[in-house]
Amino acid sequence: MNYAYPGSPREIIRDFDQTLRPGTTMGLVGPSGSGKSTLLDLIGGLRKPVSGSVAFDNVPASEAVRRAATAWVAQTNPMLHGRTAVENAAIALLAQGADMMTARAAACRSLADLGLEDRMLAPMARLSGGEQQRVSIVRCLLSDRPLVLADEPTGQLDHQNTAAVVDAFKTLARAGKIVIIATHDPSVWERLDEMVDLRESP
Amino acid sequence: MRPSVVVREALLTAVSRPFFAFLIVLTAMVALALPAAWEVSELQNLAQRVEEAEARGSNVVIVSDQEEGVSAFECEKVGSWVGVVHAGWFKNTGTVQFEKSARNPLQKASASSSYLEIVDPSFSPGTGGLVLGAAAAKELGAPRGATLSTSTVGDVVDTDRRAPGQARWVYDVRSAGLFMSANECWVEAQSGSTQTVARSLRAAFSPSPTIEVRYLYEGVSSSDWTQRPSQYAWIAAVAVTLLPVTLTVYIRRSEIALYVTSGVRRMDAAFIYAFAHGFLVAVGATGAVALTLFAHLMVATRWHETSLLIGITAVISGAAATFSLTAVVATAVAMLPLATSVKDRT
Repeated sequence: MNYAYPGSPREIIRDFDQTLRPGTTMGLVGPSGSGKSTLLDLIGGLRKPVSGSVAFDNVPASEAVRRAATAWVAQTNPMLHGRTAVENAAIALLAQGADMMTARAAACRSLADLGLEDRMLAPMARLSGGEQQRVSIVRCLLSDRPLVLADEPTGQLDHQNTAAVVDAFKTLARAGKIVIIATHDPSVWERLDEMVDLRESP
Repeated sequence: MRPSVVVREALLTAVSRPFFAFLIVLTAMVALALPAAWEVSELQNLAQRVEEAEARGSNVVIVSDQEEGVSAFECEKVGSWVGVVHAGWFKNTGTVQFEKSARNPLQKASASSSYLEIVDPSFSPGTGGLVLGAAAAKELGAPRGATLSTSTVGDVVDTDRRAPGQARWVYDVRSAGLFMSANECWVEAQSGSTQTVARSLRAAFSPSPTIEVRYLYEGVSSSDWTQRPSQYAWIAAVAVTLLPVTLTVYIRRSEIALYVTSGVRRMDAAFIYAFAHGFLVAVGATGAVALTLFAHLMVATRWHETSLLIGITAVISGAAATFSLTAVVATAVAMLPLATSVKDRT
């Protein structure tokens, strides 16, 4: 797969080729500007490759199909402001058509599994960065989407919170999801199943 | 996403950022109420001007014919028309000289009591004797009940407002004879019926080619109302109200993107934010209605129902337009590229 920004002659993603199986965690590493976020956007259907494709089960998937298959965790912790942790986590199930009671109950269980049992009803703004990331991960866990893309999820976290967040990602993989994490933090990629260094792209 | 969940999410979204919610409600309330208050005020000014114009005779239509005169009998029949308050006539009958009016002779006229009621609404019909214009009465020193020659002064009429040229007239009050010709037929119409009555009078007296129909006083023109600037003020109110709405929805674009990347359809996400902010506009509009009612109670002394209706209409027009445009704004923001919105840091 190749990609260049519109109007730019330089391909920021060049001949990227990778196969991942369900239950795998993979790290994308490289310095700023090496194309980690762009590659995530391409895989998640937010951008269209200049050439090549992303395939699920060897079948090329359109942008819409990839968007529908992807759950996101971002460094900036996009959240529903003023809403509680459980409300933020539950939207993944609500989006799938679950009723409010079912979604909240499942979100509460998953938040407790990731150590947030005391923070369920706290407004998102009162959670720490690590707690907010874990809420995002719970949202991915509750989602029926097989692909989880995380863009610098631990960029603003201390060591302890980083470890907790990586544990949470491992939980996602154990649930059968493919987890791809863009990071430049060795304490993250060292614990993942696979690692691709974009500096080594041809 | 279930429809009930979409609505619930919209309501929770509306109140989840209290500062922005307060800003939108307050802006909508004030911005939508101001044009309404302006409209109410304009209507009150118009009502006052119409009232003043009618006091000077803007609702009085005069039929005259310089060559043949008008039928006094036909004129009196007009008094029974729908929309007519009074119809009366006068006929100049020369001049009269009294001992005390040494300076100049006074104008003498025959007139129906309805005519004198039009000239001076305080005139008491049914009083016998002569009726004097105010200047004539002062000049002659003849108040009501005084005796002039062999006649008694039945009443004194104030001609200042509607017939200032007749202040030195002496009227002989009488009914019309069948073939009696009058100089002028005056017809006072009910407020709002003047133009209709004028058209009917042209038709009723039309056989004569020299007939002239005119208004006693050219008062408020209908264009004074139809061209008022305040009728467009709600458009400015919509623009002002849309500012915080657009700002807030744009700031919350990462939330919309979060819904979409979590699996919510774009149109459902757009609906959540359109409904949430439209709801806040509706709350503000409700406040604007309350402010309009208050303004109405403070300034409306005339035409109460019309005044209230026009004020509420201004609020509803502005609110409906803002509500619709809020949906457009939310849809447009929901269509922004997710790659940038989902990573937005606001």
